[in-house]
Amino acid sequence: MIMAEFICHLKKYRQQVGLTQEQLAEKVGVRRETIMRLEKAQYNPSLKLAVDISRAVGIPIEEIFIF
Amino acid sequence: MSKRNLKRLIILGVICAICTAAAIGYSLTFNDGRLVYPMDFGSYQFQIKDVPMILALILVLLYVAYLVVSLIVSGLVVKRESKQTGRTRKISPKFGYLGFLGFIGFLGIWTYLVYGIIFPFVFFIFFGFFGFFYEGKMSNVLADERFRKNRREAELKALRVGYRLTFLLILLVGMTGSRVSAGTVAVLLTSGISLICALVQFLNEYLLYRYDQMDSADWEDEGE
Repeated sequence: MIMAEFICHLKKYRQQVGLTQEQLAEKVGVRRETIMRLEKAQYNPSLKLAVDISRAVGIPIEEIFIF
Repeated sequence: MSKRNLKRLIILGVICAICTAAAIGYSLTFNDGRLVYPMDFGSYQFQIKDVPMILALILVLLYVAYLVVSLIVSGLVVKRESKQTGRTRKISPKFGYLGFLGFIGFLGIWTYLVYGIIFPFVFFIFFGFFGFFYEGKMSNVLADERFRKNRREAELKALRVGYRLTFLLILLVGMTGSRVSAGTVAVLLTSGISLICALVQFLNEYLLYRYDQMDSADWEDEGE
């Protein structure tokens, strides 16, 4: 498996808005495991998922995912 | 497939088996085993005593047709439901035990040596059903984009392995040249390709499970 090479600040912003991984996963229509992988920068999300996450936590994409 | 349909299938199967057994018993007792023992159908002449066996044969054919149609319809329904809900199909890991049917393939050794029949080797393909152990573990989970990506990767890897093994098998069979009989080549190809199909089927599910569950130990401490 190829690991994504990027930095992800999702965990920080998610905790700021008081969402659990489960809640965020439900909001953006993915599994909790996917959110976990994203937070560990082990999964490179699609543009749609990145946009959905950005909207869910209210932070611009470029601040959450740094490529 | 609903429990009611499954029950109906089993009951019909049992009725079918009883009728066939009765027809065979009748034929062996009163009709010299006509249509039971191998016979030359080129010179076949209808006799009224053949009717039970013919009816049993028609019944078996109808049952097989019903079974096939039921399985196809059930498969389509599951696929449609899975598409509508965006979740993987509901399946019990216990279906993985069907993989043991693959051992029937070894009967082919006996049938080939005694009767020259190769067909039972095809049963090796059922070893692929061991993959249900893994598919069952991922039953009814949300098929999100990461899952779909993993599924594509698993399929690709499984097919690549299958392709390489098929190539090796063909190479091996080709190298035997005229040193072995056509029967042996048929056995090699039938059993080899059946095993490869089974492996691809199994790998498909196993790799998907493995990709999905990788680093699962890390997940436990993240529960929030």
